[in-house]
Amino acid sequence: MRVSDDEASFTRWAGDRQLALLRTAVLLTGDHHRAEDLVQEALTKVAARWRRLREDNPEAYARQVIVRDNISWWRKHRREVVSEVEDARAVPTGENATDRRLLLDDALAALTVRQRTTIVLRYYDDLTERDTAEALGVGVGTVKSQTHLALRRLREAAPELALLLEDLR
Amino acid sequence: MTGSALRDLLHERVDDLSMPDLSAPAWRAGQRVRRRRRLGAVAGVMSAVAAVSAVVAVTDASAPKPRPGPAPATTSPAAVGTEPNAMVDGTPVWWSPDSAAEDTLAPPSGNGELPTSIDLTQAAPDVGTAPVARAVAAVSVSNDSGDDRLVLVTPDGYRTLDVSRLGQVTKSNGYRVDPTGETMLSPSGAALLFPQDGHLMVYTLATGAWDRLDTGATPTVGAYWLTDDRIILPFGDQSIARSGGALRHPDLLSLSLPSMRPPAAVGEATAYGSIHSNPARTSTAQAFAYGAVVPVPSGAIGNPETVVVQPATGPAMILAIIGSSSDRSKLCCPVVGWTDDRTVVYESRGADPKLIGWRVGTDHFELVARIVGLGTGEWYVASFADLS
Repeated sequence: MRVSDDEASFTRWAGDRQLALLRTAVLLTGDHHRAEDLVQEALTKVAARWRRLREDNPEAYARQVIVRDNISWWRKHRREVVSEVEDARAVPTGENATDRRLLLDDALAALTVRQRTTIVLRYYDDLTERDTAEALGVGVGTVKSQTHLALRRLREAAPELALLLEDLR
Repeated sequence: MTGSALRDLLHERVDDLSMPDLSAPAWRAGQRVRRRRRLGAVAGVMSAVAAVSAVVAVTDASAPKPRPGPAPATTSPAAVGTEPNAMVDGTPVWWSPDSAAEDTLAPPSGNGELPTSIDLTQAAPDVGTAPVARAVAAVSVSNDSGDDRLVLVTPDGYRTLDVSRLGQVTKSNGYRVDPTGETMLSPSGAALLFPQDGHLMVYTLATGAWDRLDTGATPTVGAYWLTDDRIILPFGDQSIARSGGALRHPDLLSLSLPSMRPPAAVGEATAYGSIHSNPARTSTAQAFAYGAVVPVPSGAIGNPETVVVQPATGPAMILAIIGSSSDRSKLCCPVVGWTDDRTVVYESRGADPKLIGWRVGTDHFELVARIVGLGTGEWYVASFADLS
């Protein structure tokens, strides 16, 4: 079966970018399986519009789909938070990568979905405030205020992490 | 916390991830979406019946067979059409107005108690200090900060209800959810139901009384009113009789969560929201999530959400919810009731939420109500009394 130019260019692009999109999605959701679902849905939507998107910015479109689908999911399930479980593990100190991962996961979980999205897009994907606003479908002012609130909440939620980061500076 | 250190932490968190290659399945899925869109576009061309048949035959012999039909929506009762926009496996399919067209719809001709504009910014007294016999809607408004308020839409205006005494409730999967929801208001609007761990709380508007009904270990999330005298705990096979404001111990009944059997065209799409019967009990309606294999107009999102109406006799009817991915969120359009035996009402959730009435089996739609006054970052969950 002959592979069309469109299919070849799409699979090449998707093969190159899907892991980056997954990483963003994992940071947005904290859930690998849901992140894969979001990426699959985003890639499907890009594929359906490939001829229009291929010369434009398919990654920005895919990221926007991931961000908005995640917010839609969160709003539907936003009242659901995992029950607090008695945790006998030692409090992570942030001294090794595993500790830092636990601390970061806990801290990100303390953010609202919009704050978390803002942090991930600004500090992981290195998007500008304007591009972040576009992905979220909000104004630049909202991105500024959400970033400020999110950073403050991160410090409050994970003082060990904040101290560690100050030390690392 | 510094920006660069945060960047490093975020990268460290996901650097070791891996995943299967999704590119080929995504391409195939994308092409299926494109085919369905093309099919839908063809369906909208009234003058090309012969061409439609040819394209369908060439594209996919088992694909839905679209028929030329009237415009997807109309605001004029005089122009009501009964020809569906398509037929799929013998099931008629109509197209809803898209979000923009919803704004042009006329209000219903009847005089229902629901205001045409539900204004969530209205200053309102607490129902405890200004009692009222019943509400027509209860709307829980929330924001990212976790500030919730419960607004009651009453025949004479608005009230609020302080629900701070209630806590979150545990689902059977261990997740915690807020006690307010789409099933809280009783059919008459006289009482509100809130699931709690190990019990239900029922608030009677006229008296301001809170009643507690112990339920033991049975999960209470999903409890809903069957009638004003009976509450169903769907996951526990129990119902609870309630009469005269007095709550009795549960009557054990074998009841399961009601859900409609979807027609084939809806495929494996999942039902969501409550199932609602019309006043004469001759038809029921429920919403289904994305996944219906039905034609849609050109440019509309494929595999749309649907509202399915099942008459007591005869085939089901499908209303395909038309829109684009930017203006229709997932699970956008739960059924909330019927204004009369012929008109089913669904929520159109989005940036400008509304209640839309569909005269079943026609292309006539009504703008039953707008929900206005949501602030930035706010969202709502609404529960409605019987709308008829």
